[in-house]
Order: sequence, then C-alpha cells, then structure tokens
Amino acid sequence: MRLHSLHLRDVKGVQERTVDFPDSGVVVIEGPNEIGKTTLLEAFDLLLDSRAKASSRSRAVKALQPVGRDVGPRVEAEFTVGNHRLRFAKQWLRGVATELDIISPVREHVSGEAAQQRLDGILAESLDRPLWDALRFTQAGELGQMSLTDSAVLTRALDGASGVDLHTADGAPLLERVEAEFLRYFTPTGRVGGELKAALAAASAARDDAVLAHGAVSETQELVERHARLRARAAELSAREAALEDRLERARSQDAEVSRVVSAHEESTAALAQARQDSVRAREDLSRRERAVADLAAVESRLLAARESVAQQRRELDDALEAGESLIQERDAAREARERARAVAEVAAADAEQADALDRLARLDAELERLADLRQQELRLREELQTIPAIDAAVLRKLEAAEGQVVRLRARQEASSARVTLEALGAVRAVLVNGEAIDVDTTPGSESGQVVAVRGGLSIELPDQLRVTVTPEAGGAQLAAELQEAEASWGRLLEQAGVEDIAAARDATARRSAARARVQAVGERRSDLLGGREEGALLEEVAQLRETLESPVRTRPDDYPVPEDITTARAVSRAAARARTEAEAALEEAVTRLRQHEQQGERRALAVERSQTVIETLNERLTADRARLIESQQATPDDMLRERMAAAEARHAQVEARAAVTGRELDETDVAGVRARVGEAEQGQAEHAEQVRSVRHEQAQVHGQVELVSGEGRQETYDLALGEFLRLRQELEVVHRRARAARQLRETLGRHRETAHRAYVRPYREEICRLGRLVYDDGFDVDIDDDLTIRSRTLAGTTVAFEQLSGGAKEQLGILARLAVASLVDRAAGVPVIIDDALGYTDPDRLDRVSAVFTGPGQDTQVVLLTCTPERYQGILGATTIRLTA
Amino acid sequence: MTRHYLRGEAQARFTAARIDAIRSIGDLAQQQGCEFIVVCGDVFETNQLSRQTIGRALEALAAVPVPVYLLPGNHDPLEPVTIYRSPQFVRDCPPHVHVLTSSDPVTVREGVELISAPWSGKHPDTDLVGAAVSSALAGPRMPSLGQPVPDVCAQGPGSDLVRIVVGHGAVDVLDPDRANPASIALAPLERALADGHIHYVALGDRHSRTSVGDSGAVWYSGAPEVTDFREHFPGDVLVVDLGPGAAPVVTPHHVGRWVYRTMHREINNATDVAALARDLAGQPDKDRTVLRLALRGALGVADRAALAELLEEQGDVFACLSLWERHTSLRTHADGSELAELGLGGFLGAAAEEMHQQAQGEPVPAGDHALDLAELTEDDDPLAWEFSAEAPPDAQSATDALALLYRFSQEVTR
Repeated sequence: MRLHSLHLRDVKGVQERTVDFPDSGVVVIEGPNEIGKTTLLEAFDLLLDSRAKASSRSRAVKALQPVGRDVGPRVEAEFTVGNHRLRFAKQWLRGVATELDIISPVREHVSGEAAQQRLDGILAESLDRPLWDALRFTQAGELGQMSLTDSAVLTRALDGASGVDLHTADGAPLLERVEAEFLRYFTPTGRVGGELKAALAAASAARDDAVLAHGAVSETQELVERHARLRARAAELSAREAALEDRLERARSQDAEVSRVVSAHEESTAALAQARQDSVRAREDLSRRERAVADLAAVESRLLAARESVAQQRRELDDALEAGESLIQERDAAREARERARAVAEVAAADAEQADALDRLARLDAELERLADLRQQELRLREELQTIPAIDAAVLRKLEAAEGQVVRLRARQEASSARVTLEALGAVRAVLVNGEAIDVDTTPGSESGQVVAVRGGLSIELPDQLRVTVTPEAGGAQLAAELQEAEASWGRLLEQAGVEDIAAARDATARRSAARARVQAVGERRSDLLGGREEGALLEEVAQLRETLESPVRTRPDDYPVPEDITTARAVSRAAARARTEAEAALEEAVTRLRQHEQQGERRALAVERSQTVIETLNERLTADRARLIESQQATPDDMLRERMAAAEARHAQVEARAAVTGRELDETDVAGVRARVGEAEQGQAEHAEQVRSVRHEQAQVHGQVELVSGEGRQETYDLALGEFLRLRQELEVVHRRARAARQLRETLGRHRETAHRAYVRPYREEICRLGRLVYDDGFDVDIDDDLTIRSRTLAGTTVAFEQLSGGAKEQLGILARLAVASLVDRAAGVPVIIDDALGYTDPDRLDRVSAVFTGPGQDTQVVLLTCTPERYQGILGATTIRLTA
Repeated sequence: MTRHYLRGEAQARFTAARIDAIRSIGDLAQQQGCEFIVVCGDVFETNQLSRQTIGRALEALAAVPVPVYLLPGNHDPLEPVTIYRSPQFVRDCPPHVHVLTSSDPVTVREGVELISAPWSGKHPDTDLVGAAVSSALAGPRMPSLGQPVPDVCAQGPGSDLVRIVVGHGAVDVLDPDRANPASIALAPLERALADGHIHYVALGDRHSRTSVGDSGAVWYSGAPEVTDFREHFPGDVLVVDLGPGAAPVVTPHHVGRWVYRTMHREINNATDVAALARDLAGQPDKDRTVLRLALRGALGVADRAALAELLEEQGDVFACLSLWERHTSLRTHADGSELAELGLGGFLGAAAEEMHQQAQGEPVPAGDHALDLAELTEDDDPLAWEFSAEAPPDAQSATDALALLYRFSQEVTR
C-alpha cells in the first residue's frame, strides 16, 4: 500500500486538513502536541475499517466528532493498494456518505454501501493486514515484539530472500491434528502414554495371567507324571517281593539248625555247671563238719583260760580295797591341820589391825591440834583489820582528785581576781574586810595587808562609817562559787573517809593491805595442813578409830601372846597366812589321791564282772555247739559225707567230657553268619515293606491332589488366558503401529518446520543486523526466534535478552525490525512504515545514527514519522517535512 | 485350544457352535435312522476343562436320541486327571452315553461289537488299535499284547457278528513320523477287514475327513466343526451303513456351520481395492466366517488409506478378518501423485517427500513386527514376549505416517 493524500474535515480538533505524501522516501509530519498528528492515523484506520461503515454510530465513530459541534466528520484518502489506485471517502453521523473512485487500472465510481463492499474486497485481496498492523509503531503502544509470522507478504518476501520454498499457510491446523494424534499414544515428552500405554498394560497384565495359568497347567502335568512314576515304582516293588520272601525263608531254616546246635551246647554247659556245683557242695559239707569239731575244742580251751584270768583279777581288787583305808586316814589328818592354821591366821590378822589403828589415831590428834592453833591466829588478825579505816585505792583516788580541784581553783582565783589596794591615808585604820578586821597601813608601797583580792566578792567596811561592797564581775563570782563548792566537796569526802587529811588516808590504806596479807597467809597454811580433807572427816575418822580400839578383843589361844609392836604383828600375821595356805594344799592333795584310788577300784570290779559274763556266755555256747555236733553226727556220720564227695567228683568228670563234645560241634557251626543273613533278610523285608508303604502313601497323596485339580479346568483356563493375551498382544501391535506412524509424522513434520523457520529467520536477521550496524557498530548482532521475534541482542560482546533491554534499546530494535521488514517486502505489496512519535526514549547521541537508517529503506518504501520534536529527525537525508499548524 | 484371534462375542459364538454340533449330530442320527454314534477320541479338548464346558457338553449329549460311545483320545486320555472319572462327569453322564474305557470288546446289541482302543496317557508306546484288535480276535483265553493278528480266530468269517474298531491316532501311512511307535499299522487292519474279522475302522485325530487306504472301510470322519484353515472337508460326520458280508456304505453329512477361508489377491490400484470390497461384501455368513487375506502388490497412499478403511469396516462384520502376514506384501507407490494432489506446500511437502522415500524401502517381513497369530506353531512359546516402543522408523511406519498425513490433510482441506 502506498498513501498519496489524506483529507480530514471536522474530525476531532481538525476543521480541515489535507496532507499529501510523496510516493517514496521518508515523510516527517511535525507539529506541536494536540495538533492532530495521531488523529490523521486514526482517521485513516477508521476509513479502511469495514466495521466502521458510514452509517455506523459506534463509539470509535462518535469519537471522531469534534467536541460541541454537531457536524459529520469526513475522511478522504487517495492510495494505491495492489494494482488499484483509488480514492475513498466516508462521512459519518451527519450527511452520511461513502464514495469510492477507482482511478486505475479501470476507472470506476461506486457509492454507498456498495462502495464499502468494493473496498473491502480490494483490501482483502491486496492488503496484508498483519503486516499493516505490524509496521505501525506508536510510542504510546507496546514496546514489545511485532507479530510477523502470519503475514503472507513477509512470508513470501522471506521465502524469496531465503531461496527456499518451505512455508505453508495450512501448517498450523495440520500440526495441531498431528500433535493430537501423537498425544493419543505418547506423553508430551515422548514417553509411552495414552492408548499405547493402556494397550501395553492390558497385554502385560494378560500375559501375567497366562503365565500364572500356565504354571497351574504345568503343575498338573507334573502331577500326572508323578502319578505314572509312582505306579511304575509300585509295580517294581511288588515284583521284588517274592525273591525277598524266598531269601528270608531260606535264612530262617538255616537258623533253626543252628539254634539246635546252640541249645545242645547250652544244655551240656548247664549240666556241667550243675555237676561242678554239686561236687563243690559235697566238699564243703565235709569240711564244715571237720571245722565244727575243731571249733568245739577251741572254745573249751578259751573257757579255761578265761576262768584263770578272772581269779587273778579278783585278787588284785581285794588288795586295792585295803590300800584305800590308809588314804582316808591321811586325808582326815590333813583336814585337821588346815583348821588349826586358819585359827592362828585370824588371830594374827586381828592383832595387826589393832596396831595399825593406834598408830593412825596418834597422827590425827596431832594434826587437829595444829589446826586449832591456826584458827586462833586468824581470828586475831581479822580483829586488827577492823580497826583500820576502810580506805581503799578508789576512795584515795577521789580524795586526791578533790584536793587537786580545790588547789587548781584557788590558784585560778588568785591569778584572775581583781585586787583592791587599801591604803590608809593618814592613820592606820581598822577596816573590816569581809567581816574580818584588817589594819590598813599607812605606809604606801608596802604590800601586806593592803592589797586585797576581790575573789568572790569583797566587803570593806569602815565600821560605822562606810561599807564598800565590791561585787566581782560575773566570771569572778562564778569562780568563787565553784571554789566554794569544791572546798565543800573535799571536806565531805574527808569526813566520809574518817581522816583528817590526805596523808592520813594514805597511811590507812597501806596498813590495811598489810593486815589482809597476813590473814591470807594464815589461811593458806591451814589448807596446806588439811591437804584437801574436811576437818569434820578427820574428826569422824578419829571417832571410828577409837571405837575400833575399844571393840572387844576376840578369843585368842592362851599360848599366843599379843605381839610387841606393829612390825612384829604384821610379820606374825603374814607367816600365819602362809601356813594356812600350805595346809589347804596338803588337804587337797590327800583328797585327790583318795578319789583316784577309789576310781581305780571301781574299774577293777567292773572288769571282774565282765569277765564273769564272758565265761558264762562261752559256757552256754559250748553246751549248744556240742549238742548240735552230736545231733548232726547222728544224722549224717562223717564217713557218709566222705562218700558223697567222691561220688560228686566222679559225676563232674563225666559231664565235662560231654560238654567238650557239644563245644566242638558249636565251634564248627557259623552261628554269626547265619544270624546275620537272617537279620539282613528281615531288614530287607522291612525296608521293602516301608517302601511299599511310602509309595502307597504318596500315591494316595497324589491321588488326592489329582482329584483336587481335575475339577479346576486348568487347561481351559490357560487356553482362555493365552487367547486373551494373544488377542491383546495383537491389539497392542495395531495400536503400536498407529503410534509409530503418529510419532514419525510428528517428528518429520516438526523437523521440517524447524528447518523452514530457520530458513526464514536468516534473511530477516541479516537485514536487522545490517541496519543495526549502521546505528551501533560491527559488534551488533541479534538472535531471532523461529516466530521472528527478537530473542536477544548482542553489543560489544555482551548478550542481553530482549525483555531485559532498556526502553530505549527496545524502541530502537522495534524500529530496526520494522524497517528491516519494510526493506524485505516488495514495493507493490508492502505497506508504509508508520512511526508515531518514537525515539522519545533514545538519547541524543544515538539519534543521528538512528536517523541514518531511515534513509535506506525510505527510498523504496513509504516511511511516515510523526513527531512534535522535529529535531529528532533532522539527520535524515532527503526527508520531506510536512508542518502541521492549527 | 480356543481361537484367540476371535474376539469376545465371536469367541463365545464359536464355542456355542461346537456344542450345537453335538445336537446337530443327534438330529442327523435320528433323521438317518442311526442305531448309535461313536466318537473316536478328542471328545474334549483337554482333561482340564471348566465345569461349565463339561456341563454344557453333557447337556447336549443328553439330547442325543441314540446311544453314544465316547473314546478317550490323546487330548482326553484316561490319565489320573481324566474327565471321564471326574465326579461331575460320573454324576451327570446320561445313561445312553458310554465311555469306552478298556480294550475289552463292547457289545452294542446282539451281533454288534465295538473293539475300542482308548488312550490311557498322552504318549502311548505301542499301536493301541493293533493291540486291541489282536486281543479281541484272540479271545479272552490268549491275551498277547502287541502280537500280530493271529490266523486262528474265535469267531471266523461267516459269523453274523459285526465288529467295529474304534481308534484314535495317526495311521502309519499318513504319519510323517516314521519312528512313532504308537502309529496305527494299517496293513494288519486291512488284512483283518479282508478276512472279514472286522468290518469297519472308525478313526479320530485328523480334523480333515479322510478315507485311509483302499478298503473304503477305514475312515477319519474329521472335526464336526472347523477349527483351522488347514483342514480339508471339515465340519462333516459320517453315516456308515454296515452289515455282515457287505461293504460299508459311508455317507458324509455336513453339520459344521463355520467357515475358515483364505483369499489371495493382487492389489495394485483403486480398482483392485474396489474389487476386493465387492468380494468381501459378497461373502455369505460373515458372522461365522474366519477370513484371511493374502494381499500382494503396490498401492498409492490414497488407495492404501482406502484399503485400510475397507479392512476396518469389514473387520467388524466378519467373525474374523485378518491379513495373512506371511503371504501379504504391499508396497507404496513410487510416484506419490496423491500427495501432489493434496497440494502440500512448504515444509509439509518436504516432510511428505521424505516419508515417501522411506516408504519405498523393502516391505517389512511378516513376523518381525506383526505377529501372525493364526500360525503360531507348538514350538513357539507365546508367553516369551518382549515389547519395545523404541522401534526406529522404517518403511512400514513411514507408509502409515504418510497415510495419516493424507487423512489429516484431507480433513483440514475439507
């Protein structure tokens, strides 16, 4: 399409405007904002819009009407589309009209509804709408990508440029069906899915079922075979039975013969044992008889010996009893001696005690006397102490302090008191000073008696004449009072102490402490003498001692004098005690000897008694034995016993010979061998029976299992399962075949489509790069997607995704892409590139270079630039500038 | 074995048809005045059948108006788990149904005797039929297993006794396994037939109706209902007229209601596809027809799409409609003109061209990707199965992808 002129009347803010476009090259339409640049484009769009008929009252149409004016907006344009050059005009709302003038190739005029239809027909045939829309760039619109893939014109152009004929307009719906078909059998990622998966699952499941059923059939098969094997085995066993029985029979008959030999030998051996036993018994009978006779004689001699022995024991016992008498006498004598010794010892001890008491009494008397003396002395000293005034160190210190105070106050009064000097002017004059008469000298300058201290107050009186009373100043009066008080206190203290003065007090103190020290000394001596004892205890002891001495003296032997002194008494007492101890020991020894002797006597008597019992027993036995021997000799005389023995030995010899014969016979027979054969045969028989039993058992088992299985219809089940599996398997093959076809179709179409797209992309990209390098530099590059959108831009070695580019860069790429398209499509089929107030984002430095690219395509194509800032496009060479004014 | 290629309800109908065959046989027996029916083994597919299956079979047998003699075969031998001694069978077996459990001759009525050779295990090591016949002809006094038929017989020719041998297994002349000790020796049977000792040999095992040898008296009746593509004359039963001294008259009667069919076609253009569509539409009894197609040729993308659509549509109508992969080889056309028709421009065109080139490659051998389920052999272990969704693109997937592109383009254009 090529636009030649555009005429607007009463459209929005435009009352009347005509714009003529040059056939080719860049047209810059400039004018201030609100002048109606964009309105030009909108009006042209609406003019071509088949829906916006002249009769339309749609919102878009109403928007064309100028504000506040009830007029019909009119748009008229002259343009070339395809091989038609035509003029088309529409007036809406008021004075509705549609006019179409076809100028070439054949002149034609149509109006009204038919004009609109005619135009629609021409546009549908010749105008590439997608391209028309794509090549318009408005700053207010999206900065995004154009949709180009639907443009037939561009596609043809790209086909031409790429040199391949790969594109097809029908591709999309076909591909959709292929994709849908593919998805019937596969997942989008190409894994088995959908019908194929279901068919595969069904076949696999059926196979598993069939395998299971086949297992059951095999099991039955095995069962049947086992049944057959068992039957064969049973037959084999029963065939062997006769042979085994025969063998056992033979072995048993051999065994019977052997048993006979064995039992014969056993019999003879038993007879031999009996004979040997008989012989031994006969010999024993004889020897027992002989032993009985000998025993009897032995008992008789033992009895004799025993009797002799007991007579001897009796004699010894009598001797012992005699010896006992003298021992009793010895013991009695010893007991007497001990009694004597005891009496003497007691007397001696009493004497010694008496002597001790006397001695002690004498010592205590002396001590008590000394104690009385010391008490006397102490009493005296205490009386003396009472006479001394009771002045102790504390009282003394008080006295001294009171005295010190008086002296100090006097001295202070003396030093501070005002003095009154009395001078007799004239004669001596008796004056009463403080009531004390003083004579006042006449001699001036003599001090005595003329100077009087005021002290606590002074009263000077000329008796009957004059009395001068001097009152000291306040301090003086107080001092005088204090002094008076101190003197009074001191006087009181002396009086209390009972002394004249301080010296007497000191003396009294010294004397008192001396007297006290003496009292203390006497006390200490007394307690030394007592040595911790109480005096009362001493007195008690004395009383006891006296009592002891006065107690009656016990009986004493006449020939035993009282000892002379205490030492002798003690010695005598000790000796008597020793004698008593010795006598007691002698007595004990005598008692012990007597007891030992008595025990020995008893033992002897017991022995005699026992011996007597033995003798009696022996006697009885002897009598009995003798009776028995006689009895048995009467029953079987000794000779008979001897005969019997001889007979038994003869019999033994005879039986022994027979046993030797049977023994040889036994040795010649293979007893063990025969017995083993019998055992083997019996074992063989038993094993056979066991085998038969086990086979029968197994047969019964198998039979049971067979019965169980035979009703199950396993083969049929398997056949059905197998049939189902094979059918599903075939179905799977069919589905798989379809799936493969779908997959191959999809894969092949996809691959070729990819190739085709890649082929379109190349020329488009080359054109963008060519233009881009005019603006930027040789490092400029873009990556184009199959749908002809720009994926990324590369500049100075840095690749940035389109979406992440700045607004300015996006705008630049948008313009480049449109210009690239414009320069690719051919002149007749192409459409104007319209850029509405773009490059607003673009920095001034770039502007010059961007302008440069308009120059190129503009020579073949219409490029319309709308702007309110014409400086932006100053750099474009050969541009036609149309200035819009109000 | 169940027919696993049959889906849900078709499977159920097929199973029901096999039970229905019993009733049809009963009706036929009455209609033809048959005295009794012998079933020569494999009465049941296995000894391990569900109670339901056994119950239904017995129910159908109960409705048969003449005596029925059932011979245990290799599928239902008298092994320990045999159906014939199961409590359910013993309890519910109708009184006129007899199981031939030993080789002792069974008298059907005065003058008619069955010599049967039941299987007692899956792997007999001897010719059971030969043994049974020897034993029966030698009489009870001289049992000698496995001996050839003795010349001296208890009851020679001229007697009025009619002897029918009921056996199961492969006859030696038809058995590819020469070393099989259990093969039924034909020669002694033919001698016995010629000598008039026996009068007819009824055999089971083969599903195809077959007359064995030249005597005209040894027959496999075949399965009463078809079970596989490989069977010849399946779905028949034989009505045998038998009398002493007369050659047997054997008349086949069709009782089966299902059909297994294979169609071979060259498919190279839209016309061929349309012809195939007509053929398929013209098939009778589609709901009881198992059809497999062996298609060869090269198709354009559009025709391929049309073929796929056709197979899908018809697949719903037939009991089973499948491609016989082993014998199917379809390439995609080289010129790709349909794609040009679609006017795919741009990358779509380039992609279509790439896939088209790949689709020109060798057709994928059958069995590599697609499993020919109808041809599983016994040696294959169907349970040893690995699935991988990672198969790289190949001619097959490219062809399918192109068809898909074709379809979508059309949808978009519409």
